[in-house]
Order: sequence, then C-alpha cells, then structure tokens
Amino acid sequence: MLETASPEAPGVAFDPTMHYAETRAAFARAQARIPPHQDAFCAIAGWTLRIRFAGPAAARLLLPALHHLAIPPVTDPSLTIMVADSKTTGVLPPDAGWRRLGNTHTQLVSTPTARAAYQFESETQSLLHFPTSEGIFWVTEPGRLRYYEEVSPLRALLSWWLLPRGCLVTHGAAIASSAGAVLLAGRGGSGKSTTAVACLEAGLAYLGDDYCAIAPSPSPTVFSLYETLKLMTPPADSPLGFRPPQEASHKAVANVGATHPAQLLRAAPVRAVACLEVAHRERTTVEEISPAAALRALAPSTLLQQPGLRSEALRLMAELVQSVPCRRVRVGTDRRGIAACVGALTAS
Amino acid sequence: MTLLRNASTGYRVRRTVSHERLGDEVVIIDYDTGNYFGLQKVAAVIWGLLGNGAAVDQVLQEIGALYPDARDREAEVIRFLDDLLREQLIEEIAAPPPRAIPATAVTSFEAPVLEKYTDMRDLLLLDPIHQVNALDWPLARRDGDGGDPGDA
Repeated sequence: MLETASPEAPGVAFDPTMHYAETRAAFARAQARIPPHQDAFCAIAGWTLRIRFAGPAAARLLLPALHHLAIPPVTDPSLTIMVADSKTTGVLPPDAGWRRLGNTHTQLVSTPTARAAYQFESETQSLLHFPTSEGIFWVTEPGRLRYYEEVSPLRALLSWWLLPRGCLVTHGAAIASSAGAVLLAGRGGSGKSTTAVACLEAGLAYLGDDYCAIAPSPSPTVFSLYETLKLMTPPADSPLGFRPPQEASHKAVANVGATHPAQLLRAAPVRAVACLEVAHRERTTVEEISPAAALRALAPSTLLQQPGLRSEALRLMAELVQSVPCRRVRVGTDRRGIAACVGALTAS
Repeated sequence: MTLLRNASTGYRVRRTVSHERLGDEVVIIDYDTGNYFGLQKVAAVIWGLLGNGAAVDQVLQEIGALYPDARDREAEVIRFLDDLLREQLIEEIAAPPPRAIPATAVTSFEAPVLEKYTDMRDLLLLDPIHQVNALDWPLARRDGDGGDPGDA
C-alpha cells in the first residue's frame, strides 16, 4: 500500500532545508521497506560519487551508462546521490507543491542552499543540498523514465554539483587520441554522434556523444560522464551493438563499454573545439573559426537544455574556447574521412 | 521612430541574459526566448558601455570620441540601441551612473549590427523550463506536526 503524501497547504514559502530533510527521511523509509541494494561508486571529473539505491529497479536502469566510471567503495565520497522509486518501495516523497503551468516540462526552484527540479512527463524529482553535498533522485515509477534519463542519468544533479567546482556538464561529444581530445559541439542533428561512431570505428578513444564535463582550468580537460552512444539510424554494419529503440521517435542506443571497453576514456586534455555541421557531400572539411563562433555553437544547447545554468556556465565555456583552437568541421558522408579530419585535430 | 525615451534616459543589460566578451566579439544568450546573439566591433563596444548602465547621450558621447569622423554615427547608434531594446536585451534604469565606463576603440567605425540566432528557440518550446522564485513557491505542509506522514 502506498504511503500517502502530506496534505497541501498553499501559500507557504519553499523551505529547501526542510524539504530536503523530509525527502531524505522518506528515502530512509523507502530503503527500510525492501531488501538492501549495494551502493555504487564512480569517479566523475576527478571526484568520487556514491549512489545509494532504495531498491534494484532504478539501479538496473541508471547504472549501465556509468559502468565505465565504477571504482571500489570509498569511505568519504565527494558527492552522495540517493535514488528511490515509489512503485517498488511504496513510499512517496513529500509533496513540494509541484504544479504544471501550461506546457512546462521542467520546474526549477533554486536557493543558495538547495536546488530542486521536477520533470512532469517522467514524474521525477532531482534535489541537491549544497552544504552536505547530497542529492536525491526520486522516480515515481522506473518504467516512466524518459529514455534519455536512462542514457544520461542523474545529469541535473551532476551538473548542479560540478558547476561550483569549475566543471560544466556540456552538450557535446568528445573523442581522443593519445595526444588529447577534441570537444565536438553543435545542436542536435549536427553530426556529433555520427562523428563519434566514425572515430570509434577508426580506433580513436571515446568520452561521450551527447554530454561531457569540461573544466577549462587549470588546463582544459574533458571528462566522460556516460558510456552510452545514441544514433537515430546506426550503420547496418556497426560493431557497436546498437539496441533498437523502444519507440519510433527514440534513438538506438549502444553501450560502448560492452563492445569497445579499451577505447573508453575517463578524461583527456582538450586540444581543440570542433563545431560540427552536416555537409551534404562525401568529403569532410575543416576551417578555422573565432572563439566567439565556437561559443555560439557550444553554449545555447548547453544552457537552454539544462535547468539552473546561467552566467557562470557561459563563463566556463568562454574560457575554454579561448584557450584552445576552434574549428568548424563540415561532416561529410565518408566515415573514414570524418575520423581522419577529427583525429588530426587531437594533435592541434 | 525610436523606442528610446530621451537622451538622458539610462539603459543597462537585462539581468535575464548572459553574455561574454571574447576579443572584440560578444555572445549573448536570452533565456526567456531561447534566442542568442552576436555582436562585433562597434556593436560590442556599445554593449560594453551598457554593462553597468549608461544614458543614451553618454553612449553617443563615448562613441563620438572614439570615431569623430564617422558618418551617420549618431543615427546608427540610436538604431542599434533600438534593436537592443526591441529584443529586450536592455532595460531602462532609473539613474544612470554619472560617467560611462570609457570604451576602447576597435578598428574603424562600422554600423553596429545585432546578429540574431533563433535556431535554438525550439529547445525551449519543446521542453520549457519554468524557474520559480523560492519565496513564491507553495509548499505542502502538515499543520503542526513536522514528523513522518505515516503509512496509509
């Protein structure tokens, strides 16, 4: 039987500390209701993350994308994220008063001590308490998670926590050679994933195809967050083992670690930023562009898709594009040519 | 007809936009609309003057000092300020500072242009994010008891 949420009393200001404390207590009750699930530990952008689960259902969905970052248990993790789902545990989180206005997809509340966001379609809540470096990801029903929440899990929480530490979760792909990495920027459909696949097939290393973390200082570095890779129409002969999408509008997903574990990297120095455009021809070409042009390619999709990122995020991206060469890559249809051009940029 | 109130009215960059200067270029992101903008050269110089707020006549004075021989200088600056105001990138302020921050000339005078990009607007339309001030947020509370809600 589901535990009931609190009765509503409108008009009271949001108290982030109290809401976090109540949600944390609800997590403890959720954990107590079902057999324990082993904590997971990851290394992310030089920090350590512990993920505590109230039940196995969410773990099965969220952990595969983070598998390549797994580390042995640590006693004092930098960040702890608690993951619970109401369907398995029978426990509801306290009702903060989320109410959808119009076609709002995500509602966000921010204070200096906490940040909370609610996604209405998947009915998931992300809550971060800054003083304790603890977060909560509460899922109403694991089956309702949107597929990108499985392939890029806990992204909002990681983004909020990393930003004050000079590290930005960026909408971009990254591939690398032994000389360093290239950050691939561009809006959806610009060829980031296609380029990442071509580079993987050519033997280059992979750090991500949709979201990576970047830190411009002390030296420009890109960090892998997810080992998943998504394509709308994967090549028929791809060795990456793409799984067919569950819905026609979704992309096919592959876990790079399942087929190419030796080509997964956790971090690499950034040697260049490449802004991608689709060229409707065979040959891939590269030209120099200004840092401002690179920032226009990188920033909007990063800032507009992630709740809670503003000026500091833009500043970090501006710092990055001014510290490495920036190029426009017009991506052709010849996959070997793509890999050759982009691979050459890793030695910039 | 200009949207600017008068020559002594002050304007500054709106707080709901983020912007960064890279050399003689500026990149601006408007979170309300999803539009983003580019400014180059003289346009970037004018934007810099508005960072902390400046009156229209202060901007005209600064640009006039940098480019005294530029033709149609005043009309082009007014037009550009109108563009910024029309796109709601700047807002009127009650009291502009007594002096504008001195600007640095970049090459020769070129008519300032506001480069507008709208290709990311669909991101906001598809997945609108509603950011709420914590003080305006309703929170479900239990009268009196702050403890556990208990089992159903």
